[in-house]
Amino acid sequence: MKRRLFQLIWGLCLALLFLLAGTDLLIKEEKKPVYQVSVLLESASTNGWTQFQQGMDLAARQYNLDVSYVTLFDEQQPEEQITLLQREVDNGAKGVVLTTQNEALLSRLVSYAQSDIQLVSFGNQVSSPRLKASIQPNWSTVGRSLSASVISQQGTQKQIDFVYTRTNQVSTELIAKRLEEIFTGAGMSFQRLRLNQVDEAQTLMQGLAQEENHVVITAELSLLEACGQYASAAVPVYGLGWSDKVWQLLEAGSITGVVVTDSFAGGFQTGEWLYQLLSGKTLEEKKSDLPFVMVTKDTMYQDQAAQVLFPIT
Amino acid sequence: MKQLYLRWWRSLYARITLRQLIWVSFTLTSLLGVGLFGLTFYGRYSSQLQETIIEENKNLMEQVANTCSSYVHRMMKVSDSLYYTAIRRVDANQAMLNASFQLLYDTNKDEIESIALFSIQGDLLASAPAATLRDGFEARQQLWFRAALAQRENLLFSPLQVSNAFASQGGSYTWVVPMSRVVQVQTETGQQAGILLIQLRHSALEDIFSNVLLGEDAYVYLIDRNGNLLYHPLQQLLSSGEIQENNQKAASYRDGNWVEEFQGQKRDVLVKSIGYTGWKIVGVIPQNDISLTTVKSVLFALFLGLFFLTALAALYGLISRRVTEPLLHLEAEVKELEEGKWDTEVAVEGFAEVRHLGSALNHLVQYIRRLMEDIVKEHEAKRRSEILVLQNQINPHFLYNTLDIIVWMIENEKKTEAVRVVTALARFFRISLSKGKNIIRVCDEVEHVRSYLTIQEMRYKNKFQYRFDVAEETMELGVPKLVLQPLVENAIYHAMEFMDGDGEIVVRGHVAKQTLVLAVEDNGCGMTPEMTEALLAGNIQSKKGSGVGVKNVQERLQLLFGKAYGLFIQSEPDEGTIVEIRLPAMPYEELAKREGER
Repeated sequence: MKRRLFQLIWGLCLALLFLLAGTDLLIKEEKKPVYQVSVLLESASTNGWTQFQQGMDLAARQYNLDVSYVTLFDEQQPEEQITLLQREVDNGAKGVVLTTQNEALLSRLVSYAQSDIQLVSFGNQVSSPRLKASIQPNWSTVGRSLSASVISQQGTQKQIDFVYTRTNQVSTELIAKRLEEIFTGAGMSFQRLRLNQVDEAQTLMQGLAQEENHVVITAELSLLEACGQYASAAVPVYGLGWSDKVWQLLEAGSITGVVVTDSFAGGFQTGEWLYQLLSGKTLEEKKSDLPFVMVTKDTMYQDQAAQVLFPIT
Repeated sequence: MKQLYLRWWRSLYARITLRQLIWVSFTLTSLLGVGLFGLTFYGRYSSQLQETIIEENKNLMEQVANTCSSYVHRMMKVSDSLYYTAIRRVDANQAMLNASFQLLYDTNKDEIESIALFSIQGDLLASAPAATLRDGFEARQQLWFRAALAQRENLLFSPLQVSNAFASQGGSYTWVVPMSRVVQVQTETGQQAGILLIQLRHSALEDIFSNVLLGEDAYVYLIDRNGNLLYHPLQQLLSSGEIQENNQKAASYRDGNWVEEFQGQKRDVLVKSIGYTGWKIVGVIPQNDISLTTVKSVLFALFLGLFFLTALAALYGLISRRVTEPLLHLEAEVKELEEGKWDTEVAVEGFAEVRHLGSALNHLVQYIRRLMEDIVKEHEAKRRSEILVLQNQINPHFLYNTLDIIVWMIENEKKTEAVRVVTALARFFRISLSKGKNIIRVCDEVEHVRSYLTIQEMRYKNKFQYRFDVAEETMELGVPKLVLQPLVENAIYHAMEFMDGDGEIVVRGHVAKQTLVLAVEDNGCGMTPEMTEALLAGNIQSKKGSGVGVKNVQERLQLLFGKAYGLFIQSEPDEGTIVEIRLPAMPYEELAKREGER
């Protein structure tokens, strides 16, 4: 009787092993799951965001992400972002990339989102356990690099004018603060000039051209393009960001130097993070500094800068 | 400890049956065999799979190398064509050059970003598509320009770069591989050196390499002779430092297969060079990509191993049963033989050795049976010998008594009686001898007793009378000789001792229910039952006779015919005694034959 029972159990074990190993009944052939993610883009028109998308797309190919890009109609409208975030979640997005530069808005979005949605921010950060990871430039390093370039090219006798239009941009505030420290530390005059709108850049540049001895720096891309457009040889313009217009103005010498972040790498990194979060892996790091290069007309085609400015996709 | 282990092992070995021993040892051996075979097969199959994949990938790399080589040669031909059909022409002029450049550019614009001819001073002489140099562009500062000047005889391929010679149009940019050479340009003032630049589109290389699939995680990249990347599927991530590639090391590899460990991952690397350019195509195949280590593969290998082991165990069970069952039967039959069942037939079955054993045991049993029969026969012979000895014990008694009578007669000068006694004695001995036979006819036995009584009557004259009442039908029956005489002798000596002429001895004989009954009756003093038993046991001593005669008769009869036969005594004190001899009523011939006398 015992022998018969043993034979029966042994036979059942073999059959179970066969079902496990030889069929898909118990162990399914591991297929890469598709993770649905959404990116709330502040703008789709600039090169930086295009490169971000290219990086994200590469991550999507590598990690089987189904990425949905949502472009805001009005990036300054918090309600629109919240509505879009909810819509994407309702449509099945399990992870969302937030790209707003507005710190208050980012906080609202993070607190609004459901707890089971994996949130990653690009270019900004807030302190919240619901925000799983964030990548942004190290503004201190960016400021140091930019100021070093300005000082080496323009000397320390110039007046630094930091121009901005938005007051709620965390990047603007951080870079301004750092630049102020460095330039004033170097004995230079530093002032913040707030414009009500970008169009005022023309007036500003024309006015500064009369005074000479000014260097204009801006952290806003649209303002950089505007300042570059109306810049003269007497007023060098520096800034942050990259677009075709900035490229042209840089080549033309209207813009003297720009700091360009490696948005492609940033896009890939956020995609990789989302994949790790959605597949249940632990992130090795929750914050990352976005790489950047300081570009001038002379260095823009050199390897290091060219690889950031003109990504091979 | 060792002793304990040895003891345990011996105890186990003693308890284990042959069938279990065969099954366990075979199964364990098979387990070892299946394990070794499985591991060897698994390793061999894995390595074969790896070799096959590498071989297939090598062929694929060969094809890619041919395509790439063909592309490079086509581009070199474009360069040669431009040089020899346009640039070196004696009558070359700006318009003609531009036209030739444009024609070749239009033909190859999917692969060529631009064609340009520079003077040795860095001035643009001709270009296609028509464009102006980028503001501030200094041709002589470019790597491709300086490299061409450094190696004037060669066509040179420079590292990948963004096309930057001409002013950007519409914000687009192109990554190119500059191909440059020193050329002799015909100008109005004569011949002068110049640099011909053909910018090969990176996208053309992408077209060649991007669709090459070596495996799930395998990929191909292209490097120049210095290890600079010309194409990589994740080139931008490499540029931004997100990932690393072992391209500098790969530049030192010769063509063939290599195994390298990079960032903790072992991988097979296939290298194939492109002629003239010094470019190398590098195929990377992570080793875990082509291994059989998935859970399902391992489980399936385990299943196969266990399945074969189970099949073998079942087979060994059958074999051990086939081997041991005949032995078990044999053991049971031997047990029966041990219990004395000598008629047990040992089955001859199973394998040759067991059949031989069964057959040998059968022979042994038969031999033992024969031996036992011989022992019985020997015992029988011994029994007969004892009978003869018993008979021989009778004769001295009788002779002594008779001679005693004859001596008495001769002393008393009774010659006639003496003659009569001697005659009777002669007849008595003739029958006693009977030519050595033990079985005689009843008539002879009666005659023998008659002679004896004649002799005893002479001695004990007037003390008793005797008569015979023996049925005629008994006369030809067989009887052991000398069975009546001891009874008659006993009656004379014990029953007639105190009789005074009125003693009578009657010898009777008849057949009742296949039994021959011979009886000696006397009317003497009779016996108590105790005396009767003592008589049969030979324990009665008297002055005349040894007292062993009756006992001898009883023993002889029971030895010959069994306990159912023998002497039966009826006696009452003062009444007389009847001693009956009962034995099977068998004709003389039959009994003599049975006793082996004929």
